[in-house]
Amino acid sequence: MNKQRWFYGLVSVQALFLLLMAGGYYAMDVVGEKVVLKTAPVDPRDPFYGDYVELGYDIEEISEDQWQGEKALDGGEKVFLLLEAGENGVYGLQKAGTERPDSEEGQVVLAARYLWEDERASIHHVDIGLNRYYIEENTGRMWEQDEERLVTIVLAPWNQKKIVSLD
Amino acid sequence: MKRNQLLKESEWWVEEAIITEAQRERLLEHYPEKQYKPVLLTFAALFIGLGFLTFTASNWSYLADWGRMAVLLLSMSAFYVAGERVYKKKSPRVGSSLILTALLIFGAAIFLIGQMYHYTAFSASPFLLWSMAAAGLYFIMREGMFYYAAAVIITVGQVYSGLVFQDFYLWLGFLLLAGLGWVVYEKRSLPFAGVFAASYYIQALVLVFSGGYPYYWLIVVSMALYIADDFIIQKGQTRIWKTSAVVFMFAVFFLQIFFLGDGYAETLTESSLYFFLIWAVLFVFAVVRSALSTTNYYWIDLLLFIPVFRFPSGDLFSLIVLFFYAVLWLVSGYQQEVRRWVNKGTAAFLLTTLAAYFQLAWDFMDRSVFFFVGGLLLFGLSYGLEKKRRSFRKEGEEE
Repeated sequence: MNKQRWFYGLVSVQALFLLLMAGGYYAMDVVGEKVVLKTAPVDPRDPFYGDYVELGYDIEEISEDQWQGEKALDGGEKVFLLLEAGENGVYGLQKAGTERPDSEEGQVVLAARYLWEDERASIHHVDIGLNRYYIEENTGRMWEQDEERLVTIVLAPWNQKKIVSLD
Repeated sequence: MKRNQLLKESEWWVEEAIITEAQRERLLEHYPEKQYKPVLLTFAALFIGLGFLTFTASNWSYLADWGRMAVLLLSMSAFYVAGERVYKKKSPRVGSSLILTALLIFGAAIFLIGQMYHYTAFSASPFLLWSMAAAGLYFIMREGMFYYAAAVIITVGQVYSGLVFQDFYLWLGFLLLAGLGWVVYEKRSLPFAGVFAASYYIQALVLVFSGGYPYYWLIVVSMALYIADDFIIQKGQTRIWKTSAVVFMFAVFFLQIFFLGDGYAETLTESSLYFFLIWAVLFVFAVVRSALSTTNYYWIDLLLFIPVFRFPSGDLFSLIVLFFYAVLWLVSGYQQEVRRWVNKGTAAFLLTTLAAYFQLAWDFMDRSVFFFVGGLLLFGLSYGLEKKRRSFRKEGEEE
């Protein structure tokens, strides 16, 4: 009997986890903070991968004067970006570093993974983990690379984020 | 005793007046007629379930998000519930395969829901959750099938982590060592230990190569498993962790012959202080263990844990160590008349000769001559070894 109880306990935990995954996604719309970001061109040239488009962001390229972390970071390390809303509502990068900064009104903190440093152009590349936008299969031809787009994302208090729309 | 058997036998007992008719009936009550429920029904359920799944898979893009959620949740729960029922009442085997199907749906659901809701994973954490579910099923049901499922999911997750994130996912490694390792320790099952070892080495390769560590850390990693074997040892059982460590290190040595050329060895000598510290501790421990063991020959295996990369011309040194290894097992096998050791030494000797031949003769011989001479060499070698082995076997039989 006890074994049966454990078994159904484990099954319920699995079902609950899947429900939470879905629930968290919808809950974000209510409690999350909306942030609009500008895209940047990505490598490779063709961003279309069948069922998703590859996105790059303006704020993923950090210039030397915005960078406040150590000089040489390993790829994959966690860094924090401090973003601030500009006029027209698009968020821009204030500063970035390995320490979590305090945010004021109109500012948000976004966690990212450090990628690599372009020493020639002195630009630090990071990855905010929102580089794939899944779309309906076989509708991808309408996404073209060279256009600059605005991406609306939403940040949840529980450290989750998602892309809401791509204009 | 089966009911049918008892029915016939007890008739005779009554005739012989051993028991009365009333006693006979009471006895028979303890052996109720078995209810033969058709296993076919279970298979029917399995097929319907799978048909449903493939149907939804092919119509996936037409479904709304909530519809997909419902399909995943319902099919997973249905397979779990059905599996549990069948497991308990009809056939444990069919029951556990139904539960396994449910586990696979759970894994698929994590990824599908992740995709539906634009989740991005920064690590192999979906695999961790999935393998935790599998390991949990093993601890509840105690069915080997779920142990293997957990091991496969952990290993695939780690390889995925290495390939996609260039990172070793610590928690999967921990789940293998603490979770599955504990099962091996507790059950002392040979196939469990074998599967554990396979996952262990694959993860070690991911750790070393994605973490950018020098390859020599593999020596320490395999030596740890070699020593850990003493804790799961059971009389009369193959020492699979020891064997796997030896085979693994033999392969490492084999590759060292080709890759530890001049120049490469020097680049490895930096930052190896920690390595030597850990290595020394483990090596001393292994030496002490082998000195205390009843057979005084296991120290030969320890030759394979020598860090040859530290010496100039490590390729040649690897070759010499391998030859020593092979010859020592051959000699002590003949001396002690242990056929297993002789076989081991023979195989090692042939492989080492092959490597040596490739290493030394490939560069300056004409290709056809190379293979021709190599074939003749191997032929002569195997003839000599086989002759010696036969005479040895004969002696053994005569005694």
